[in-house]
Amino acid sequence: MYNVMLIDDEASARKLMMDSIDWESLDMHVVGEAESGIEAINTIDDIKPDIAFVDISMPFMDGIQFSEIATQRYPDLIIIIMTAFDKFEYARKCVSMPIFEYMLKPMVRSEVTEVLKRAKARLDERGPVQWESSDTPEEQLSATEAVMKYIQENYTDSTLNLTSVAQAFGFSSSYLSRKFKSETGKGFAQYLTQVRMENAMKLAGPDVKMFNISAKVGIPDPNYFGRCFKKFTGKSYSEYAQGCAEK
Amino acid sequence: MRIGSLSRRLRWVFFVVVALLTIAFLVSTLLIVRREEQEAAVREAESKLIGLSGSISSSIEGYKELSKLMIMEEPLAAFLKEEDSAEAFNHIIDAKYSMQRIINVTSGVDAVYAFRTDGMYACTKRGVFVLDKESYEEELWPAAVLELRGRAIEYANGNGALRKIDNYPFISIERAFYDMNTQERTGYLMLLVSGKVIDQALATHQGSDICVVGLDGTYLSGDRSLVRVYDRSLAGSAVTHKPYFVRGQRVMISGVRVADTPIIVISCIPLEGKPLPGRTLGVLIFLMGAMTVGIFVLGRFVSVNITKPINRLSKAMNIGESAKELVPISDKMPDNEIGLLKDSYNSMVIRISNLIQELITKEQTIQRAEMRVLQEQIKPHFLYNSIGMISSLALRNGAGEVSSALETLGRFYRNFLSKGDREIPLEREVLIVKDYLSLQKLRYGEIIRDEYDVKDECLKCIVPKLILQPLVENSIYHGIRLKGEEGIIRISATIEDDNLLHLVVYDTGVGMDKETAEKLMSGKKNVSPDEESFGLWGTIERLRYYFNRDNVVKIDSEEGEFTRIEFIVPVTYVPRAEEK
Repeated sequence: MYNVMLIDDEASARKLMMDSIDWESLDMHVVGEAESGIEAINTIDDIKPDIAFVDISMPFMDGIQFSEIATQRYPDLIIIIMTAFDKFEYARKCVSMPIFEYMLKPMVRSEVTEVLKRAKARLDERGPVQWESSDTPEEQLSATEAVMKYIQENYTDSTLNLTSVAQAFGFSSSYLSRKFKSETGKGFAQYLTQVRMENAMKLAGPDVKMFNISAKVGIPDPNYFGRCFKKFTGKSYSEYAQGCAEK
Repeated sequence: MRIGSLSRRLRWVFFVVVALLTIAFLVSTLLIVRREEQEAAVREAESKLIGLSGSISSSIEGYKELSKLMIMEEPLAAFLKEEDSAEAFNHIIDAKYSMQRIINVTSGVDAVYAFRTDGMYACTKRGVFVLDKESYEEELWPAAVLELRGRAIEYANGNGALRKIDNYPFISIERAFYDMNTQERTGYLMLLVSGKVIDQALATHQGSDICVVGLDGTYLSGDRSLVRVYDRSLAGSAVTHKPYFVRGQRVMISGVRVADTPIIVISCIPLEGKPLPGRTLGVLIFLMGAMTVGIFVLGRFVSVNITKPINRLSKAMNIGESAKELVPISDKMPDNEIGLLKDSYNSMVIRISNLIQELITKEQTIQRAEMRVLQEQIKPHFLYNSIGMISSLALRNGAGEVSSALETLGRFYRNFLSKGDREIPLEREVLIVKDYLSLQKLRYGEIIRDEYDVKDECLKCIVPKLILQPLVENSIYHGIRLKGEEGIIRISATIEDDNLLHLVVYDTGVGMDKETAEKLMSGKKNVSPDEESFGLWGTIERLRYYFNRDNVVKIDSEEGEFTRIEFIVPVTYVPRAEEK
């Protein structure tokens, strides 16, 4: 069973994709979605997909930018770019990236199925993306602390995620994930979001716009930021900002 | 018609100049001729008068000598000297004889009178003379003679004391007689010289226009008709001239007094009909010739250097007209202002040609675009049919939402294409925006709220198609969606007091930085197609081009708060395409 991630700013498009493709018969299932490249960067380490469908036109971080990061961090990830006609030539210019396939919107089931079959064949041949690494490097006692410090220093970088930190420290991402969780009791992504949200709360105020703060704490997509904020504080940003004013 | 008016005017000016020159020439010629005539007349008169007066003077002088001789005669002297009147009476005969002898040997002496102081006189004469005794007795005339103390004095026609019975003119030469021993005045002698003497002098000179008069204007000889032009101004000792009209003829009247006599010689010389001296004539002919040549050279110059090149230039310009296209002039033009004119005409032609070419290209582009729209019109039939079919399919399957969404999509496309019209009423543009937004709301859910405030009087205004839709699209993608909050898009249209249509798209998105707003408002071609605001810029450019106005847009924005784009355009109710 291979994991598929859908990255598209249009919910209806993701839904259509999810509903219309017979994933079962392809021995695949959709394990996650993201509304923007920013969200995808933040969640991909938890979702651990083998195949990613990426829409090109997305705000804040478009499909090309995302793919550039993703092909570096996850060289085995199969990326399928979906684009409307007017961006097709733009996408073509990015041929230097190991993109598995470019597909034209609107989506046609048979075409998608065909591409997925080929992707499956590739994965069968090569094996799934190695999200779980078996190698265990030497124990570094201060590693987790260093990572936490690194996060606190670099949380404004919107492309920061588990894999990029792991690569920066020379760990495998699975190792870092496990080690981080066991030593702090929190997931890496959870901690990163926590740092960002705590800083966001410090900046929040009735006169401060959400999209300004979101950009400052490394989540330039205010939609995704809003969801993270609500999840973290239990309040929407505007409610929270209002609360700040009343204090 | 202005064609040829310059050359006509030039010709006119030319004629005026020629006429003025001719008049000036004639006037100066006339003046010169008059002067020459007068000078010639003066010269002639002087030579005539001086000659005449000389000869008259010498003959009178002869008679004066004669009178002196006569006084020397013994019998006459005895008559005058004798103290006793009765004795004197006895000498009369002898005196008469001696006087008679002298008259006999001289010509021209009409009579001789010798008066004694006691009033007795002896005389000898040819012809009949009347002596005015009274004036004689009153000694009116001898007084002047006495003052001369023995020298002679002449009077014309006897100074009124003597008159010849046939009125033939004469000159009297009078002299007082003094006794040689006692030096006492004892009498007077009066010698009457006939006017014939002067007639003889005149006869030696040709021409009848000579008159001799006494100082008092009495006629002596010559042309009697000239007596009336005499006045004292002509009696100078030097020759005096004055122009005069005699029988409607211009003449030069000149006069001179014969030296030591009361005799004036007057000449009358006609001023007209005198041949001009060759030198003056030569100068005049040369002047005339030079003027004619000058005028012709000037005319030729104007013609060769101005009129003809302009005609040629004009013809060369007309070639383009008949060829139905603008062609630069290739003929060689003189290297002066005309050449300059040609050069600027050529550069203008080239510029106009370029403009026309540009216009043609533009028009072709538009036509091509219209063709494309037309082609796109064919496809929509299939699109509309399919949408309709799917809509009904959805409805049958109980998916009413799908059906209405498809309906909206179909209507959106229909208005979007608008039969290929480039301009549509504002109400249709608003409908496009409404459908567009309701479809976008289906996609993005509750983040967009749209509001409309379009005044009724604006609904029928004609605007270029798709001027609001790109703004609304911009509001969604570069405004509201970037903010992560619900946003409002408000579309309003009013006709304000300035009689302009104000279209406003307002959104509560992330706003626009000042730099971008300025850039968009400035209307410069400085927005690259990669920039986010390119679509907006294109729409503004389209408006500028369509309404041919620079000032069509006002952008007001606060970053993080709102963007307000206002189009200000003229109100029209008729599409441009139909105006033509």
